[in-house]
Amino acid sequence: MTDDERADWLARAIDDIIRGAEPSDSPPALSEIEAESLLQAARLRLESGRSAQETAADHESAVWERLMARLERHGAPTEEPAPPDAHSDDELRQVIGLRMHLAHEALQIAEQHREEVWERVRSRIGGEGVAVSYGEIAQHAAGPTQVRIHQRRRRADLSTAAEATPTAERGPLPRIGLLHVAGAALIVAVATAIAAIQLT
Amino acid sequence: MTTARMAIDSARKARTDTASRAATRKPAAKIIQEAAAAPTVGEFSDLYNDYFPKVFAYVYGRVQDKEVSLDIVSDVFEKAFVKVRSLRSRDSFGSWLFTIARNEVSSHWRKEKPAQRAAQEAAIENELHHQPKSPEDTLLHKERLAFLSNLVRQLPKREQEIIALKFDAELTNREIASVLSTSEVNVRVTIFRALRKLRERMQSLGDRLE
Repeated sequence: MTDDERADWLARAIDDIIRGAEPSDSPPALSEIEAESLLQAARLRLESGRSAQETAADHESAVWERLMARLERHGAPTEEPAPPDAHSDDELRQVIGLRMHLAHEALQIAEQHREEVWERVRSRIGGEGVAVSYGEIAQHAAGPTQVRIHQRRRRADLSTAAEATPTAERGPLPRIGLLHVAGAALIVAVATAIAAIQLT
Repeated sequence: MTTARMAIDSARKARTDTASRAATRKPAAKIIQEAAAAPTVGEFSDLYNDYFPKVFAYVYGRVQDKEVSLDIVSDVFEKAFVKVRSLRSRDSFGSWLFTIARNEVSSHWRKEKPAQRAAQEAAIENELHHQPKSPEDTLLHKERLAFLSNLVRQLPKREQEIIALKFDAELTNREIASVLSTSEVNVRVTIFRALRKLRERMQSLGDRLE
């Protein structure tokens, strides 16, 4: 008879005791005294556990309250229907999602027209200080990161140049144009008057 | 009032109602199986009612300090509630819960400073043995329980662990095997050997059980 077989009997006997029943079968190869002393130790130990379980009942509510306070911090799932502000949150999330989608599409469109718009910008600013196009930069750059760095620098240079141009220097240009127009109109008027006199 | 607050208030009420209809309550395993994803606080309160006494008894059996045990048990149920979504087989809720409990006890012992631990072990309060009991619960009987508790604490840690899972948590040998990642045969044999040691030590120390 091995320990395993004795252990098997004892396990069944303990489960019977836990269920509140008497052990259903007799011990194999164990004297009655030995078997009974083992079961007595098991009963005593079980009683100790049950005593602790009784003690637990006194603290069950207190621990539950403590647990609830902790779960509150975790945002416990609810059995209640979602309150109105939860619906608002859902709608807000949908709007944000749609807005992000539109922004993504806009970025794609912008990318398609990047070169064309750059050419327009370049022609408007008269090519001053702009030696190469973005395509040329990309061809000569070592990598995409450097292209981006170059582009940033280029934009910074252009905006700095535009900011550096004093308003006083840019301002007189339209006034000179008007004077020229006025002068030209005066000349045309004088010339028309002379021609009329000669004809008469 | 926040959603969580409403849920918790509802759960508190549900728990009171649940306690009054304890006789008709669904078994914990059924609650877990019926909960589609994770149990709500209300469903969790039923699980708590079912498992709290045994989890407390197990933790107390290992730690032997009431206040520390209550703290650990709170941690156990908090973790169980938060992590229950990750439980693959809902049938194994019991052994899963006691695996958490076991880890929390181990974590407690790791954090406990050695001096405090020694002092705690030296001055083990046998509060549960001082609870008022029935008239036939004599002084001798209390002494036997206290004596047995001391003997159990002299067993190897693994045997203490298995004894606590068997007699405090009242788990089946299969559940204990699952908690400890071992075989049922190993659990059976360990219980047998541990009880045999206890019996021998009792007899050698004056046969106080007789």
